[in-house]
Amino acid sequence: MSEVRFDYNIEMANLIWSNSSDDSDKEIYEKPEKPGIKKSRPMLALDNEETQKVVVRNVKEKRTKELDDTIKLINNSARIRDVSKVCDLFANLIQVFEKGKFNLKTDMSIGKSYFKTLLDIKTFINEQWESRSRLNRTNARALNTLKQRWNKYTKDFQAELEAYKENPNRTPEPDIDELEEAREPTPVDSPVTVQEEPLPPPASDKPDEKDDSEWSDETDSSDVTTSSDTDSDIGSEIRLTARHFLKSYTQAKKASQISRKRTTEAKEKKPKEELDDDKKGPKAGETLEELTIQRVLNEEDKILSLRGRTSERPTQLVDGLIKLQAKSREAKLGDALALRLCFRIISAIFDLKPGPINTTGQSRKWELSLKYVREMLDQLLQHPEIKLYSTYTDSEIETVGEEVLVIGDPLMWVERLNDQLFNLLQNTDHNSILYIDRLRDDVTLFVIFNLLEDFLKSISATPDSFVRLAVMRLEHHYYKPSALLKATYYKDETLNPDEIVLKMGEYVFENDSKEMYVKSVIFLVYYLAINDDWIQVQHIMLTHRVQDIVQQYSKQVQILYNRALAQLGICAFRHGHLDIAHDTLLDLISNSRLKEHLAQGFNPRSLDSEQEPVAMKFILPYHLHISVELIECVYMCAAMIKEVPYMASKELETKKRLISRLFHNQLKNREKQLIVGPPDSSRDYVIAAAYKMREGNWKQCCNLVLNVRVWSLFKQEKQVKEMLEIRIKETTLETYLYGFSQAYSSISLSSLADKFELPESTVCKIVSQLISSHKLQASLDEPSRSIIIHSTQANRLQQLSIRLSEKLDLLTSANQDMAKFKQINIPQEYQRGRH
Amino acid sequence: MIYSRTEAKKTETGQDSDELFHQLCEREGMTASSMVADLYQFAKLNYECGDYESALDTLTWFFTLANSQYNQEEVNSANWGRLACEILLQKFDDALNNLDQLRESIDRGSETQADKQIKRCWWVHWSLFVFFHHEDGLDRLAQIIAGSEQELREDRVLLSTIQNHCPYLFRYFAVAALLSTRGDMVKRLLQFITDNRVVTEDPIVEFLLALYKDFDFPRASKKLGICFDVVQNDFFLTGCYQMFIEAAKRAVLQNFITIYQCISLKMLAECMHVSEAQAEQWIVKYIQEKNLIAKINAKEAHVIIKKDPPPIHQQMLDKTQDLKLRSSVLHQKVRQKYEENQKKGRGGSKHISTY
Repeated sequence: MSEVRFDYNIEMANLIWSNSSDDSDKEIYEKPEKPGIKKSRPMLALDNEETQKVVVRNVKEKRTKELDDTIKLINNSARIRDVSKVCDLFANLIQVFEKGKFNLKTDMSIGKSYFKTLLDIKTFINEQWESRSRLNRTNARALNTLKQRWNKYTKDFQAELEAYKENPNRTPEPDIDELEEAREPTPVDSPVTVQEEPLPPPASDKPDEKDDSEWSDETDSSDVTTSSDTDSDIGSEIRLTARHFLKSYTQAKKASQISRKRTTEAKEKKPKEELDDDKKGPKAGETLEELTIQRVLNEEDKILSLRGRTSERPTQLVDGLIKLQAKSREAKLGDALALRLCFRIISAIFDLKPGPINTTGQSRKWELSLKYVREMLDQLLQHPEIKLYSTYTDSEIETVGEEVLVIGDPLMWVERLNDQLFNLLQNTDHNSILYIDRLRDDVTLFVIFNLLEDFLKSISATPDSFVRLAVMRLEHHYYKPSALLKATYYKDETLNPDEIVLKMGEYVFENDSKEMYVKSVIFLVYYLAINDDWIQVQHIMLTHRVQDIVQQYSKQVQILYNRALAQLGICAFRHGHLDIAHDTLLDLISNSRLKEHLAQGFNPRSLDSEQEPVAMKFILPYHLHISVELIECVYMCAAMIKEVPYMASKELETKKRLISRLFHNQLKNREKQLIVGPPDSSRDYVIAAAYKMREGNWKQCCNLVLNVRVWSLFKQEKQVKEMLEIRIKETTLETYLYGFSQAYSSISLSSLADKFELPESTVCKIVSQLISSHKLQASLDEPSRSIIIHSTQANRLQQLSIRLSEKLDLLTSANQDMAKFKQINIPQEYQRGRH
Repeated sequence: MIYSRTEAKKTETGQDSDELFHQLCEREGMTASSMVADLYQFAKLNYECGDYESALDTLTWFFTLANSQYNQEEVNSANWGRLACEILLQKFDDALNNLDQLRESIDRGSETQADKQIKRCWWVHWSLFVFFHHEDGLDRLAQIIAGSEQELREDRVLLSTIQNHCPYLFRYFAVAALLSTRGDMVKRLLQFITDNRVVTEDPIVEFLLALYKDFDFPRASKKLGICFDVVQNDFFLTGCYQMFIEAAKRAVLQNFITIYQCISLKMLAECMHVSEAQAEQWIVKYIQEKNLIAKINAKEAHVIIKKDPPPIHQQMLDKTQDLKLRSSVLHQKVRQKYEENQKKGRGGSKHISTY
């Protein structure tokens, strides 16, 4: 057994080695310059055993020669004490030895010379180590590396080496079969990885696997690369790298063709290998006709028993199952069996570890899962006679009478698929084409939902299942305008997407009362809000009062709620309900954590390293984002129209209550600036407009507000702008009356109407409102259609006393503020003052 | 059913329901719940036969016997039954009490919000029968409006339910507000209606909106014309037709007075739906009641209303009024803080001395 360990470990050491090193190593792999000895791989070469053997001879000789040459070169370099060269050559030596896959049993001479060289190098290292102070820097470093590599490499077969030292004539005898089994995992992943990534990254272990297999299968590959012989002797890394690129330039095409051919071949062969392996001998696998249900089930068990083993490539499980399914189908073992395997495959795909954000691998996994889930549903619908068991009732029994037991819950897998898509979108760069591809899959998913619905109907499932399905569908519909839904999903004339969405929502309302219910309410609110159905939205909000209960639910639901709230505010704005828009958005926007509330990003400074991944988990995919600028702009506009007249009416008062703190802060910021530039962001525009409004200049105010570009995000841009214009006129009129009425004794309504381009009735209405709420000291004169301002001319004494009373008021307020904010540290203050 | 009137007398003496329950159980040898359930069924039978008198009787029995362990759902529906009987028998005093109980039980119930809302809607619909027949009814309706203003949750919820499911009912609230003796009811109601964007095309509500919100007198007068018809023909409102006319005209006049300083009698008369002479009478009446300082210019047919802005000393008084209160509050706060600091200072005197 010790021999087995030996050979296997060489392989392992080799892998580590190639992982940690760079191009030079790979280069060596790719050029089998000298004829060497190559061991055939029986299990891969079932069909063309004959041809293989012919080639094998040539390669074998080549390899042996190569090895001998390297050994010679090492000896030469050692003699002239070129440590760095020895170091490089040592690496070469290992590669060449590996490449050759020498069978030490048959070629005892090679084994001997190899061990001898190894020992020689050790001696050389020891010698140089003694006198390392005399070496120059490059050599000293090389020596260090060499020593470490030598130790690392030989660590695993120390015993054999020792044995050789004592008795140079004895050689280890590795067992062929065992050796192969140990190496078996490597070829398996090549079909997957090679296909995904035609140009594998240089630092991975994939290239050598590929070349490895190239060498074992391709008869002509030795000719492909024999051109570059002597370069390795020089061992210069720079030159090797350069040549590496050159080579890839000239031969990449050929190589990729080869590898592609290889991939397809291997794909076909590999599962057979597995079957063969499991059936103790290559011959059993060839007779496909002998496959019975029982045997397939056994195979399945075997493959599944690999699950969870760290040493296995995760995709192996999936691929094995896929192959098994194909075989069983070929052998016509019944649809139930195929379906059973289909479930197994899906579960295996979902069991694959999420891995790094390697989107290529992830998307392949996704495509596979999409394909198989769809296949599963198709099968289920085509064969209603197949009975489905949702749980593992008894794992021992796998057939019920003659039938194969099919286990699985289609609904659950579709849900998993749905989550999977969400995760993928979360982790994919939204600028990439992949992202768009994934968004396109939405349509496939829609088809799957339809299939699932048919299936659920066919088995007359519980309302609960339909609720889950409806919520999933809503999840994909709620953020889309109804025109888009119509164009993509409900192309039929008779279908009305609004009705469909509402019906789905109502179905959930009736059949669920927990999270699903709350979710679907929120979905409906969002959907109706973006589709501008204000009355319906209001109805739903009032009927279900989610605002009262949403706090009890998960963070995800709360985020959804925040998003719906934002859209609700925007919808109210579009309908001219500015104060509702203001109040709705106030909570979202007030603490400047809007992005966090909407799960569209977060401020990394506000979170520590533990919170960050949690926050990341909630971040929504880009296509779901709501324009933050739009929300801000809407809010600022609503705040402006509320706040500016209010400020004007309270200008003379000392005590001011703020409606919108955010808006005030912005105004103050602008006042602080020495030079006020032209507006830049939409926020600036609104603030600048607010100033114009205070001056009573509605035209400029209007221009500024309407010039903000975010309004173009509205489908109803024109109506919104018209609405805004009217509101600005009205508000400016109000502000104007507060600010400038004292300068008049009477104003005619018609002149005001001209000035603000409003109908006289509107002016009359606004003035009347102000009079009736005592905000304006005036009254109307009906016969002359004018406003009479009641200005009170106070005498000097009265003016002064009013001022005094105001000052008193201010003083009290200041005292109050002090007591509130400074927490009253009066004793200390006094003491500090004295010192 | 086997219970005699004598026993009914007994229950009226006000014994505890549990006690009575046990007594009856012992004597009659009946199982507890089935007995009460039978009573419930019997009441329902009576009700369906149209014998509301005995149905109410039986239900009174039922309520005496149904204790807290009894099926609350049946108790609730029996409550509705009792209300129906009382309304049909025109016992509005009892019905008014019953309404309150019913409302509480709806608020307490454990149904979903949507279900509760439906029940509330029913409640409002039924309550109209009581409110418009009981002399305190209009006040009660006005109270609901006032409650919503004062952030009383239940009343707010009730109004928003009406807004959501049956906005046409705002007509009755509008009438109640207009007829209310408290002056600001209409404004409160309209505040709720505009704040919450209630959508209703009821002429009475529109009349009030035109008058109080838009001050569009011509439109208000047009709506008022429609209102007269509506009120006369409305099942509930027909009883207070005269009151409504009076109140509506007064409201129009009142609004004119607050806003205008000079109005032509013609316009006033038009808006009030009266002749000019009548309008003059109204004004004279107003002036005599000292509600108004005005003169009628008979030659031009104008009413000139004299309005004085609040005098300056009044303004000063207003401004300085609260100074005393605020200062004393502040003083108290400072004193409190100071004492706290003193206590702390003794404990951590070193800290202070470092200054």
